[in-house]
Amino acid sequence: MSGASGARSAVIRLGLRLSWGAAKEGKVRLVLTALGVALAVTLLLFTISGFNALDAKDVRGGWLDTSRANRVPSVDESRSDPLWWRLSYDLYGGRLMGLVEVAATGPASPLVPGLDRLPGPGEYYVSRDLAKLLAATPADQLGARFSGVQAGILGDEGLTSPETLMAVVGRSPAELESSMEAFQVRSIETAPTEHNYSEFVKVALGIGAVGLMLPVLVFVMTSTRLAAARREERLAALRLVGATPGQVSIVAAVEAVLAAIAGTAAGFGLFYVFRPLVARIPFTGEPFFTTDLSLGPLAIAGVAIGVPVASVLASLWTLRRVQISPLGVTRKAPPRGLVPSDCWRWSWRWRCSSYRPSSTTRRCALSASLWCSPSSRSPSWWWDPG
Amino acid sequence: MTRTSVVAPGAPAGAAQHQGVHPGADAGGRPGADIGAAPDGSWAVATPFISCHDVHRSFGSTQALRGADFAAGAGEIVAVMGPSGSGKSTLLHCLAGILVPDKGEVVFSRERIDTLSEARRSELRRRRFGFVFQFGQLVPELSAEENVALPLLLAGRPRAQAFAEARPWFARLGIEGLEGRLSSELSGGEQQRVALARALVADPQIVFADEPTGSLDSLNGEQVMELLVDTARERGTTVVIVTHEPRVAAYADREVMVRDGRASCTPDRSAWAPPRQAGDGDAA
Repeated sequence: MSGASGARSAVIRLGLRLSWGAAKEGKVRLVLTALGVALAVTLLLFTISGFNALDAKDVRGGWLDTSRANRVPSVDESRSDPLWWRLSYDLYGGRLMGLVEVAATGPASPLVPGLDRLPGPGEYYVSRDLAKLLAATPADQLGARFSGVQAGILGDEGLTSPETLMAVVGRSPAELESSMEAFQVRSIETAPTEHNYSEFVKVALGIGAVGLMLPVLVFVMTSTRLAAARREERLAALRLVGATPGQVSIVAAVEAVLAAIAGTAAGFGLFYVFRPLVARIPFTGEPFFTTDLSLGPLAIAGVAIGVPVASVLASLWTLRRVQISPLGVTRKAPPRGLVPSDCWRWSWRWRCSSYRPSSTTRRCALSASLWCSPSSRSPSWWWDPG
Repeated sequence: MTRTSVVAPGAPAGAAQHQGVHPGADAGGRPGADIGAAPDGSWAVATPFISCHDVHRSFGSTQALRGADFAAGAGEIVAVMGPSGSGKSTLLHCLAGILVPDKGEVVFSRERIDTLSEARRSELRRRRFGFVFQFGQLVPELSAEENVALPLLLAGRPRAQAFAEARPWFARLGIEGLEGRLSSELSGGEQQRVALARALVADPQIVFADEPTGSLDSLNGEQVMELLVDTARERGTTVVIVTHEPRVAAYADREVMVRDGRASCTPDRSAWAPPRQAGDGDAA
């Protein structure tokens, strides 16, 4: 092992040792930071999976937009047999119930998602929740609306939510031909449904997630400051025995990455533990399928790698603002630029001085003063030519 | 090896070779230095191992050093004394490359170190300097053994080798059995011995000690000083001790007084009585 790489691995090991072997305050800081990171990661994962769930919901509901001219047909329309199609909605107990009546005209009529065969005349398929409702409700109140026998359960692929009330009822072509609302289709729509509210919900979800994440990030930042004096004392001791600024940065970064890795792992754990509960929250009026709150491999890799990397960068950025010398830690003053408070102070000094600027100068200064002023006090006396 | 020697003002040049022999100069295998009289009658090291010239250092509006001069020969033990706030610690920090002077130069082994980069100065501290400060400045989360091995680990020494080199120091400094204890669990005297072991483990050429006994009772203080001085003499290590205790300074070959940011030196106490000359208080 070369000296440089040996020193680097020794420093990383030292960082781990210092993080694990830290005194009580150090351990509390590590745990709280990890907890904060875990909360932030959980929120981030739910936000990402929330977007995915909205997309999945739109995909699941796409087949209900089936028309004569589908944007993305489910089958080759030149080879399929027409299917009579009528979509209607009904209410039961205040709940919306979808009713799709179909009549195949041949063996190659397109299949509805969630079914492995089309219902024949006098048969119907219902969603799981509707089946429960049918079982619990007198037939004359609900079951009679479908007139026939239940052939099976409509699969989840055809439902926008686990609580969707949906029925696919088989009719004869003759029954639907006479209906004004029925029409023939040669395929089922597979393009996602275009809900305006999906985009709105996504924006709201994003804003909500940022709103929730901000206090969590403040919590993370606060927790990293716990026992800072002791940590800085330790880093100064390392500098005294010859650790370079780079080596000290590695030690600090190791601690940050340790908390971030633990927090990220815990965040993923919390996400999968609470996913079934969060899926039940009816953000769009009805709950999501748990599996729809999913994470793509890119999102998983992005969060799993990105959060620790970001925490290391944040740690190094924080260290840029302090100078760790063998004698202790000094904080570098931020570079003084033109900040609004300065403008206000300068303009105030100017007002108080006996200097009488020209009219144009006064106008410019007044504009600057008003622009920078923290309050909206009246500057009327400023116009007094005195 | 050249022996460190002190020449009194006005003494013949050859006197240096047989008068004022530095007790530790022969053993360490370091280049020696001649301490002699400057033309103005003050004491100077002719071939200093570490020196500074006209060093100024301020902290805000406070001028800690105002043109301090200092020199120490190889293997020499020098006590830097002075009242609180006189600038003696600042002088030590400048000599050790911990602080960079605002003005003036610091030369170690014929190389200016005040102009070196932070990384190079860190390397110097790691490989060639050792430090013993008032409160040990140990890393509390590490065991005593890990603290002692720290300079070696930071230098890239394999872990097993670093610990193998660190272990003998415990027996040598009378703290065997404490290797696995956390440094925060040690008494003040034990901590200071661990700090001493850490300072010496990398075989430094200079040990800088800033009030090394300041936090210890007199018995522990004496023991630590004896260990420091004996080990330094045995290895020919130069030691610069900042102290305000005459008892501690008595272990040194020579004293340098710092007052109001300026340093003045006295000759090797083993060879000469301090010269009594008017105005020597401000010149080094």
